[in-house]
Amino acid sequence: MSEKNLIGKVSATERQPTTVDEFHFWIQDDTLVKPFDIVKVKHYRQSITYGVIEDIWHTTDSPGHIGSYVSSDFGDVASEPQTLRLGVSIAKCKVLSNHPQNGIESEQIYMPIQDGSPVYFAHESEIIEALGLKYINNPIPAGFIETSNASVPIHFNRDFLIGPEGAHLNISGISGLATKTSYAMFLLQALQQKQNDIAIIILNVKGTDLLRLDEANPKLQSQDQHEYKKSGLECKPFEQVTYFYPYQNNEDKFYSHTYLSKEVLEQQHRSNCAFNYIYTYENDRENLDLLFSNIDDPNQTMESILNEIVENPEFDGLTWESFLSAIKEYTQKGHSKGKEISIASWRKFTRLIRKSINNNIFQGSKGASRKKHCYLKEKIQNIQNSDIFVIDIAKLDEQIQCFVFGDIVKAVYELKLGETERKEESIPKQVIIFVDELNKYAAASAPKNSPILNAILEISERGRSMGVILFSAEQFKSDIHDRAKGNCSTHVYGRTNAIEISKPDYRFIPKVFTNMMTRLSKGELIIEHPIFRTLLKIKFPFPAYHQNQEKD
Amino acid sequence: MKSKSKHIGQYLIKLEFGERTPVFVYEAENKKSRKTTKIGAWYLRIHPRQKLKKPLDGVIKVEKIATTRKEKENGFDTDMINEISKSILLERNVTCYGNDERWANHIYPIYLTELLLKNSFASDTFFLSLF
Repeated sequence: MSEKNLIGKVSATERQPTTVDEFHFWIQDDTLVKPFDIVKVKHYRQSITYGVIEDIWHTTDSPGHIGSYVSSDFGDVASEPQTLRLGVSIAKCKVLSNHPQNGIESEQIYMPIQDGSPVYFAHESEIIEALGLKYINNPIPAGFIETSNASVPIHFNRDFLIGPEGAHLNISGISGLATKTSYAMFLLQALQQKQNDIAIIILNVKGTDLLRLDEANPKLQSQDQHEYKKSGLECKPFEQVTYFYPYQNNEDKFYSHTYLSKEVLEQQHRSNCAFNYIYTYENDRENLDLLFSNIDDPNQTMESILNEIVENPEFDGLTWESFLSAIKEYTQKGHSKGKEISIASWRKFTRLIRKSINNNIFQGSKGASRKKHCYLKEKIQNIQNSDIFVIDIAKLDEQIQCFVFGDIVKAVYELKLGETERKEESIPKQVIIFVDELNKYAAASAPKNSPILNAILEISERGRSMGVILFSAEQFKSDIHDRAKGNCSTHVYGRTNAIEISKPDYRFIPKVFTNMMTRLSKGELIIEHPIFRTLLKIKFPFPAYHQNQEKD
Repeated sequence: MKSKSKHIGQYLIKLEFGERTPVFVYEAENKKSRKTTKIGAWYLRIHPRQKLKKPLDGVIKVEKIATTRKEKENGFDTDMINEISKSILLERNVTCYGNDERWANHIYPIYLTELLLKNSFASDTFFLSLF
């Protein structure tokens, strides 16, 4: 082992002995280490034990703080000592794994490390070995870990990221750092480049960030390009992208209800990669319950009304306008219909639904071809391998956003359940749905009978085996329904705040890591993945697609 | 040590922070070789007395052996004594407060040296088991 990387020696004391799981070592002066650094230690039978630094502290021979005060001329801040106090920096390490050197022994040694064993920085190939990344099947680039002495590209195991062994990814962190979405897009890009049997559906929930995925990022530096190369990826925008915008009756904006500029929209429509989606009464009457996802319905009156609408032949063959007129009759005093449901309930239902149905996406039927009308369900059920569908819901109100998201989930489910006429071989093996602001759809406080919540729970619990994978992001993980996040195999943590890390979700994460979550900077994340032996702090290159609306 | 009218202790309690006494020179005899050595001793206050509990806390005694003929015959050079006193005064920080009862009358480098030597001794248990 190179003496150059020697950074300290293991210290086992009466109070802090070395154990199977952890050890402490003193750090030689002038050596800088940081949490998440990976170190190696010589162990029994010439084997090597790897550890990850979890905590670092500096201690002196002063038994109390008053000693430090007295030692500064009784509180004179300007005083400078001639002889420095005896002090040492100590690092606490979690044992990652033990490896025989030169294959002399094949079994791992679980004995605690001996006092005085020299500790070295692990170099690149050793870090890969320490983390168990040496033999990953179907590696998917996941970014870099930057330790004090190395920058190492790391990879997820596809089988644990998108199934069949484990699935679903959840990213949490405060907004405004452009990290959560960028990382999800980095992963999706890696998946598109490395896998040819998946399809991706992305929901654009705010602004225009995800509406120019097929255009190169003009702000990319050569350093970013180098990082993509190092990750094993090409630095290029997404391919096979189709955009779906909510329809609006405005020819100037190409009938698309979006924040995207007219010029970009024109370009997308001209290259035939943009459509405007609509919903018709005929196709979507049965999905109306999705509009009530976040409405508390303890007496199930809304549900009864929705059942009545689906089952009563009186509501067959209508358009949205005639539907509104039909339900209006039920709200009139003294009407003879639907006696079992009170007028007050019908009125509430009408009030809630009228607001939504007045939106332009609710149309009678497909219009002229220039309007580029489409049904999302139809499009999704014809999705091909490597396709990326971006569905813009940013300009819709919350109720309709839920409606569209629920419709997408249902369509994907029907596709994967084989309820379409497509041959099974032609259906993408995995369909990944990425949605930001998951708290809108699967909040811990969502009504129990919310159809969207149920759809998300279904995906998180059964989606893995069916090939429906959810990549989601939100600000606060603690706001998300336990079953929705509990089934995620990969968790990603961005910067968060002190209140959030005090929640039970973070109870099993070492304190130093949760504290570090409050200090992460832009582009830094902490990841948890089944095949990694510890949490890792990673960085990743800037997105290779165009992020801003305006052309530079 | 005693002057005509006062005990040395009475001078020392009045010594202010950074002040020292004059050097008292005396001879010490080596009983074996019957040789005498000239020693200069003086007291120096290294911590302000207002901050300490006992009147003599913060006062240290410094001894210097006369090594040159000049020193043996004419006594010690004041500049040199001041220089030594200043250097010791600079060592008042850090202290071994909390680790050694004598912290106020001790300096840290000597404390560390003592610690190092004590650690190289056989332990109490080992020593007792010898008998």
